[in-house]
Amino acid sequence: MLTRDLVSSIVLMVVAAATLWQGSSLPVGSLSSPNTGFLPVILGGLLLVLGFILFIKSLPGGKKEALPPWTGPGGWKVLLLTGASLFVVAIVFEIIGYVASIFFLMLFLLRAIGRRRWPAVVVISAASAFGFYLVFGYLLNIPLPPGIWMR
Amino acid sequence: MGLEILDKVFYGFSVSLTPINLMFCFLGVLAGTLVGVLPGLGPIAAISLLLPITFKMSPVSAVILLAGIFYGSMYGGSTTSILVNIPGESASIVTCLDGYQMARKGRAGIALGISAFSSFVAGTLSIVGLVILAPTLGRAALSIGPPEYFALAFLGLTLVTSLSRGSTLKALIMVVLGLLVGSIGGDPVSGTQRFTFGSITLLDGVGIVPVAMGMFGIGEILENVASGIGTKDIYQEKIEGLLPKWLDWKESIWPMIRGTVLGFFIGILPGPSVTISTFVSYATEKKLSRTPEKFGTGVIQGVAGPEAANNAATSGAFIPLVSLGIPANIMMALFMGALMIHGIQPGPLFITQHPDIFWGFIGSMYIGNVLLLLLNLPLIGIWVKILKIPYDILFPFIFLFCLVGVYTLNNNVVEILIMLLFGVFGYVNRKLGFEGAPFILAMVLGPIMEKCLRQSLVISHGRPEIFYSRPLPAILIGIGIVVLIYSVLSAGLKTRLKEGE
Repeated sequence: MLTRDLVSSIVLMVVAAATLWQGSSLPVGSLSSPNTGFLPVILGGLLLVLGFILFIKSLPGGKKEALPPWTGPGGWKVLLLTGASLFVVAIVFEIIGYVASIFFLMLFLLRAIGRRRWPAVVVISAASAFGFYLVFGYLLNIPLPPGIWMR
Repeated sequence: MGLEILDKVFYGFSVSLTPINLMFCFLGVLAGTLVGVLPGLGPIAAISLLLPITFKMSPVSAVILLAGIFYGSMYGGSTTSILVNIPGESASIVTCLDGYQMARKGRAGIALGISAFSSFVAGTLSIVGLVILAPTLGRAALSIGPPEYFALAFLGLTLVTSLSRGSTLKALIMVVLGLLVGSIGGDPVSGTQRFTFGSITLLDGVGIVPVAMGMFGIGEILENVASGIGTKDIYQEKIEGLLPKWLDWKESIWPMIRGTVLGFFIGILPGPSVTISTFVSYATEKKLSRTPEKFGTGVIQGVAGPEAANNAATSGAFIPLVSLGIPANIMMALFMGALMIHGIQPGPLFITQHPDIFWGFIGSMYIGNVLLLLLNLPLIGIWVKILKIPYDILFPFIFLFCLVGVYTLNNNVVEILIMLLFGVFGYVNRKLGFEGAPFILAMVLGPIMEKCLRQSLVISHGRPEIFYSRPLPAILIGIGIVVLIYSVLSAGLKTRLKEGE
């Protein structure tokens, strides 16, 4: 059976192997004059050993530790929607500017995730976009991306 | 000598009590408490957000404001740890262990009270230490070499591993992964690039701010959203009895004093020493306790010690900067940046050349600590109200602060993406039983450790004796190894006992 620990251990061993491979392509040096690849090679080796111990422990018959469920009552849909909206904002942040980004993100999160009513959603979103503009853009004069329409 | 110092302290008060500096001191501690209370928005983000506005102030005011944020966040950070089991910043992680348990037992008021008093006692006592030691410690600290620094970092990592709640093996894996991520970018000795994969952002390494905000801020948001909005367990009862009783004082006065001394001296050391000091203080109190098994169930010593330690450590952390010109942590690096914008170079001559800044800042720390006690005890209700904002309204704001905070660091969208990726990483790790704290600590300590390890090996021509032939590294590494073996063995013992039952 594919337990979570078993999968983690395999991923870790793959990362360890990649580190060893990449690290050894750098100048490693010697014990008396360690170079750039010295630490990565040590870490790759350590990770391989630790990953292997986890692998052995996760085999049937090994000692198991109880792990939490993947999601709670909120469920996958809410989790993925929230995560995706954050990534979308990061991508459009410099293009549409921070004021519009903040407005649309708030609109989405408050309505789709928070399930607040539309009037409240619009008021809070507009207020926060304006608030961020006032504090960061106007009062503190912190350079944030204005977006294509404010250039 | 004594009178001379007193004279200078009074001079400091005369600088810090001018209306403008008093105002910046108040704004600093207020902002510090606020960011400390808000999870996902820490002092590093707050200082980096406010750094641009300090350019227009006088250097004294700038230092007073930024320092206020730094030590103010130590007060505020404990509030969320105690009430919602979310550390406001990394130096309050340990406070969750017993502070939250105290709140669940109906002792939230006492926990908040003792944490504010511990912070106050440690804050004011450690300033005395700073005043006495800062001018003289420079010479002594100069004799600490690479093996000593390496040993200290090693001890810090073994301590964080042994303190993790889950399996020691997984904590060790997180340490190695953290060191690995910390090694991305320029090699700290030669500057040669590694693991950058052609990315310009990665040339300077992966920033600690995006990673910490991702793993603790975004990871937390995802976790809370997935576990169902509205079901978030925020402390609902009325908070009463903030003034600790005689018995509470009796139980916590020694942890407070030990925490102050430990915190102050650990704070002087480079690295995330403020956070380490809380772990060391907690471990010390647990070891000294006659009932160590009760730690984690809501004992007052587990709050008093670490809360004193993190405040004392913030004072200690200033010492290397003002006496040697070496920033001990990210906050101090930001501080140094603020001073250098004004053309002031921190270093051995700093105190004599800029007495107004140094002594004004010392005076402001006393005033700030009094303000913080007033802000955090009578006004605790306001901070709790901020915590009671419904989570579905609060979490978008936490995200916005993370977003704006990370972006303003370097005006780089890639860092926002790094933050989000580490948010996902943090979420997945929680579900796989891996903890974030060892990872972050290893990541920050990584470059220092590597540099010191390599320098030590060069000094000793590749012979490892350098780490056990000198007394200080031998003792520190020895303690580290014992701690590690102990935590591996005790974990094995625990599972065997469980099976026996």
